[in-house]
Formats: sequence, structure tokens, C-alpha cells
Amino acid sequence: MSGAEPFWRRYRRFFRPDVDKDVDEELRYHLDRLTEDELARTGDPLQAPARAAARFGDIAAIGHTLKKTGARRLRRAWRAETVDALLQDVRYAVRRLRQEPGFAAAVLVVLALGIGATTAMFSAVDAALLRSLPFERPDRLVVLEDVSIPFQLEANERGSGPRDVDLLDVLEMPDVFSHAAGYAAGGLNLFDPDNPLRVNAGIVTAEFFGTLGVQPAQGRGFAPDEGVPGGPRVAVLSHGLWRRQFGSGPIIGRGITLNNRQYTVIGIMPPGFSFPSESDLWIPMTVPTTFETFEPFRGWLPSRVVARLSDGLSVEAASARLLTRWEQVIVAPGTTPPPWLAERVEGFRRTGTAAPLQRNLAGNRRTALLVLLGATGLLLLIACANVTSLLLSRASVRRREIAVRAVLGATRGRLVRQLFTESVILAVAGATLGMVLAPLALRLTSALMPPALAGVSPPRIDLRVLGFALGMALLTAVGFGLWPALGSAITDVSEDHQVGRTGSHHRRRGAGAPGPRGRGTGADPGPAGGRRPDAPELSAAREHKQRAPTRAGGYPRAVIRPIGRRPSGAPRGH
Amino acid sequence: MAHPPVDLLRGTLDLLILKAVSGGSEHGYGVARWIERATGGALQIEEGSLYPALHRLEDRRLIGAEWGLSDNNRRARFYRLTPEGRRRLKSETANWTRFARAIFAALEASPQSAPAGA
Repeated sequence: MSGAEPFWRRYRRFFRPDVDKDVDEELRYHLDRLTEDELARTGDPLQAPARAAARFGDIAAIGHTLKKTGARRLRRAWRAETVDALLQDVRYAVRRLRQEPGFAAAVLVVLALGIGATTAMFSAVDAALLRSLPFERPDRLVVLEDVSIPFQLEANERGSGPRDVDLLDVLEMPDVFSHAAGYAAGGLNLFDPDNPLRVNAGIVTAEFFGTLGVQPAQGRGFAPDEGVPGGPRVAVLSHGLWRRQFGSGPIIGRGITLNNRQYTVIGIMPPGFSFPSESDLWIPMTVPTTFETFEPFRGWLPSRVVARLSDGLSVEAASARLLTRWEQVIVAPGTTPPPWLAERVEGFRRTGTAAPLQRNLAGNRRTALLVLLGATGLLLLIACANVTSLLLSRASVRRREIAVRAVLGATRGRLVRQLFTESVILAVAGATLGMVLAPLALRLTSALMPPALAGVSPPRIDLRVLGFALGMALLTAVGFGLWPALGSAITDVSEDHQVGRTGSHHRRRGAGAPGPRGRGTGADPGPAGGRRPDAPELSAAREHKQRAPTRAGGYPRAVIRPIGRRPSGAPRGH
Repeated sequence: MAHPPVDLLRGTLDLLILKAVSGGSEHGYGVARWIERATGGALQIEEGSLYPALHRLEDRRLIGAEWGLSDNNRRARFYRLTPEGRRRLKSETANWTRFARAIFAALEASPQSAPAGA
């Protein structure tokens, strides 16, 4: 009965079922038959259509519902088919790759090196430049260049002559900088009868933790009276030191000995906080500083000032305000500023007096890191090019397989997708391997990390980096896989198939004993011989052959059918 | 007032449709007429529920659909049983028969023997 279907319809259905039209036509037919019924019953040609319509009910509403469910069904079928095809492609690709372990290994190694190196570089760049510092609103933190911490002796003479801007000046500008703190980093000896330790100490003014917006996880930070000369000696420990040295036991209120001086532990910072320079503990820097402050550090330590911008103020505006202050303090009334101060202020006019903390910490490594990232990107590109050439050389070997599949009804799109699936699998496997290599490479790149950032924002492999690696994998898959895939699929199929048939230069593994599964497909199942008749078109052809073994012309039907989409309701024939 | 239309139990329409197309291909109109005829007019299938049911069964692959020519030489959508539909028809028929017998037996039985509290 279905054989009487108009010829053209087959072609339209070839692409996709026309749900709306089908529904309309089906309901129209029903209505027409009802009309005929009514006509036969009443013999009234004028009344029949109306009566039929009344019997039928709301044809528009019924049609609408059917169209909606039909469209949904079609989408679902399409999705299922797509997923099916994808899984099939993946299985087939994995099998192909396992058949050629040498090729697969070569590609994997090249890709793993490329992706691993790029990923490691990215994680370094991420840590130094992209990821924000582990402080509260780190974008509001600035480093103030050359602002000093007043020294006790000089502090007494403040205002009497030309001098540089110091922390007290900054603290007098709360409308520009809401917080400001000085800090320095040095080494101290932590006394312990069993396990003495050299520790990195942060010597910080009392406002330090408040400026960064990080509060101790236990205990408290420095109180104002602990930040003046002669104040009590207290220390805040890092989480790491507390864990390593004190076994995470109760420590707050106890004493520790640093360079033969007694300090009382008042707080423990949260894990991950070790600014500046991988500090293990923090002790107060008094304002003004005294000889005693720097005594354990051979009398002097370079200090810096970090400040938090007041709300709504840009770095540039703050920088300009601070510059004004510089211009005021470098001159004593009635004199010209000393040349070294004038030069410094001249420099500030060009570069600004305040710089974002993160950029400042990355320092001149910023350019180096970016250049290296670019270089590793090029390395990855070279890796892609190498893999592409490997794939291209393999493509010529695979021409016969592809020709057979094309003859059996694979569309070009399907072939490209198949080959591309292989590339994606290679790339993802390469990326996975690369992720194993990345930490090793990271150990090398950590030498490149800005020293000021060490301990603040260590490079690590996290989700961002994983996402980056995955993105690289897909990019490389496009980079190395698309061209060969397009190239091999768009070859003259008929020519290649003939080459394949007569060509004896292809290896014929297992061709002597086609397995029972391969029989009856009506075609040579390709280079894999009878052992692996699972190319998608082969199984489809087999399926159809089995379904209609006696049907005349069954074979061409079997070849043609799987190309198009299945009509939405056609049985799948399992 | 004649007999009120019999309410179809859930799933009954599906079963009737499967039965209607078990003899060969049939279009929607034919299915409706067959059910009417076969039930002596007791069941009138509304088009509003017939077609969704047909399409639902098609979706479940219990019946397949193909366009063909009707006896008056017009294009119509024909439904036929799939092997799975045939199996379902068989099992559902058995279920129904059992169910109907049980109900019938209950209706025939004397109410005195019913459990207390019924």
C-alpha cells in the first residue's frame, strides 16, 4: 500500500518529516470522509460539510495539539539519533586508534607536551596576572611608591625641612586613602629546643590586616597600642606555621621566642594568607620606627606602603592627590628642593605615585610572563601542525576505508564528523596527559613567578586551569583535525573506491575469514575485514538486509535508507 | 434518552486502536468507524482523542505509520501494528479479559458474601 506513495514525497521526506503538513492532511482526510458519510446519510450536499465539522469537533485545536506533540517528538528523535551517532562515532574512533597504537601514541605525546606546557604557562600567568589576590576587594589596593615609614629621630624634626612623604602624611589623607599600612619582610629565628626554625616574618604596622581586609581566623590582629614604640611584643602566626610547628594546638596567649626575644601569640591568620613574601608570622612595625624595630635585621629593611583607596576614587586621582603632597613636603619655606627629591617628584609626574597592588607585585615579570605564554602558544601551534601532518599522512592510508563507507551511504557530513570525533578524542586524551605533565612544568615556571607574589598567589592547577586546558584541547582538535577531516571526506569517492578494490597495497587483515556478522552486507567491509563490520553504515545496511531479505530490490533500499532521517515514526528495527 | 456514552477506561482506547489496526493497515477514519461498528455503536470515538492516541502509539513504536492511497484513491495516513505492538495487543487482551472476568464475577456474586464493612 505504501508503494503507491507519490514519488516526490520520498525526496522531501529524505530530509525531514513535514509534521505540520502531515497533520493537516491527515485530519482533512478524516473530515472529508465524515462529510461523505453525512452526504450519504442525509443526501443534503449543502448541510453535509457543516454537520461533518460539528461531528469532528474543534479541528484547529486538535491539529494544533498534534503538531505540537509531533514537533516535540521529532526533536526528541533527532536528539536521540544525534547522541546515538555520536556514541557510535566515539566507539569507532577509539577502536580505530587502538588499532594504530604507534600513531596514537605519537599524537598523544606531541599534544600532551604542547597542551601541558601551555597549561603550565597559563596557570603561572593566571596566578600572577589574572587571578585576584586573596584580599578583600584587591582592586582597591595600591602600592605607594617611595613613601617611607617615619623613623623616630626624624619624626621629631618633621615639618622643619625638605623631606619625603611618609606614612603619617598618607594617614592624614583619609578622603584619599581609607587605610594605609607599612610592611617589610625579614627572617627571624624561632626558638624551639627540639626544632629551631628560620621563619619569614612580616614586619607590619598595626593597620596592616585591616588595610588588606583579612582578619585573623583565631584570636585578633594588632591593636593600636601594639604599633607604637615600646608597645607589647606580640605576634600573629600563619595557619601553615601553626600547623607545622605547633601541631595546630592551643597557642594563643602563649609565648614564642624570636631572635632571643619573647613574643606573645595573639592570633592565627586564615589558611592561604602569607603576604608578604611567604610570611610565617607577623610582628608589629612601630610607627615611628626605632632602632629596636630593625635590630634583628641588621639595622635596616626595605619597607613599602600599601593603601586602600577611598570609595569612588580612581588610582589616577589618588595618585594625583599624593603627588600634590609630595610637591608640598619636598620644599622647606623659602628654599628649593634638594635635587634628589626634585628628581623623584619629577619621576612621579611621569609614572604616578600609586600603582595597583597586583600589577606592582607582578612587576616587570608581567611582560616576561606574557611573552612566554605567547611562545608556548606558538609551541602548541607547532604541535598542532605536526599532528596535522601525521593525520594527513594517515588520511591517505584511510582513503579506502572512507571510500567504502561513502559508497555504503555515509554522507560527507557524517564522515567529517567521524574523523573529527577522532581528533577530539585525541585532543582530549592529549590534554589529560598534558594535565599530568603540567605540574612538572609548573615547577620550572615557578622560578619565573614574581618573587613578591610568592606565597600570596601561588600558581596551581585549579578549575580555571582545567577549563583552559579543555578549551585548548578543543581548539587544537579544530586546529589539527578539521582540515584533514574535510580533506579526506571530500575526495572523489567513486575513484577511490575503485582504487581500493583493485589496490593490493593495502593491508588486508583478517580478510580471509569474514565473520558471520560481516556476511550479507553485500560489500567488502573495508580494511578491517570481517572482524569489525561495525562502521555505522555497515550495521545499518545489515539491519535492513535482514529485515527484507526476500524483497526484490532490497539491497539498493538498504543502501539508500539510512542516509536520510528516519520518518519520525518508522520502527527502528532492533 | 438512550444509553449515555460509555466512559472509556484509561488505556482502553489504546487497546481498541491496536486491535483495529491488527488486521492490516488502517487510517484514522477507518479506526474510528471500526470501533463504532465492532462495539455496535456503543463507543463513539472522538477525533480529539483518537488522533493524539494514534500518534502516541506511533511514538511508542507500537504502531507504524505510512502514507498510502485509500480505497477512494485519496492520500491517507495508514497505521499498522509493529511486532512490538502485536505483542502488546496480545498481553493487553489477556489482561483485559482477566479484568473483565473478575469484574463480571464480582457483579454476579451475591452481595451477602462480601466482607464486612464493604
